[in-house]
Amino acid sequence: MELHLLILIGLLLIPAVLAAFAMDLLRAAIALLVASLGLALTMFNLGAPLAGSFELSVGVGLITVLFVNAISLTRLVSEEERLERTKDHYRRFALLPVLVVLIGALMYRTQDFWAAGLEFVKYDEAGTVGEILWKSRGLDLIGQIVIIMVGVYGVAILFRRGSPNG
Amino acid sequence: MVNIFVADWIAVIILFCIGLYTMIVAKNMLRILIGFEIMTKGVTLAIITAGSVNGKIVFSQALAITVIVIEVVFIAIALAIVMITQKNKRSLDVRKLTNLKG
Repeated sequence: MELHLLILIGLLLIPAVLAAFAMDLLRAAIALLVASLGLALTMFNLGAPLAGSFELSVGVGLITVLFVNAISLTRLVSEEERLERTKDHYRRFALLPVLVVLIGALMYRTQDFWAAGLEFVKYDEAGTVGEILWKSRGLDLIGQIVIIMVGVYGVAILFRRGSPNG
Repeated sequence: MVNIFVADWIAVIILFCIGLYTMIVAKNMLRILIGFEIMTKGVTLAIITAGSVNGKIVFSQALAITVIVIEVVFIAIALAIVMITQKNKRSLDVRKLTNLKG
């Protein structure tokens, strides 16, 4: 395998592992940022520049800002609570390799099934991403617009001034 | 070319498992969301890799963009709920959220 592919996969996997294992949430958020960067670069490498740039702007930019904002506003953990949490933090992940091996083995054993599933995707790919989004997958786009509006409305309700919760 | 896709599928499996496992074992709400993010990255990579293998990269890009939009909206609402929970309960531990316990 070529070296740059290994670097890309490493840039995706190592920060993802660090984000899951990191004790400090801020470090986890920054590791997540680097993992998003790795994912965006992998997308570029696989020939998906539009999705890559979308991931770059949203995954690296917006989600990191949201996470850092939330972490900075919720850092009120006492020292005793923190020590109690750190005690069994790494021990919790002891079964993770077992899960990876199990799901990996399951995927390997059923690879013919997945390959057949890929063959079934009969979609006319004439046109650009924009044309597919607006024409073939128009309902998806309407769903996305509705979801974004629901998100904005939900956040506005949650943070409205004078609410009993907010 | 096969090697690229094999490496990507291995990365997908590892990312998905790390995210799923983090969501299962974590007690902190923010850490659960980080697990969700990692899992979603695996799913997005799976969509793009499948499109690349199948030669339908344009269609898979459209799907990946849909997934990313839904992911962002979910994270925004979930983080707002996390902040309000912190304000009311002074804690992010999911074990302490027992108000609806019957």
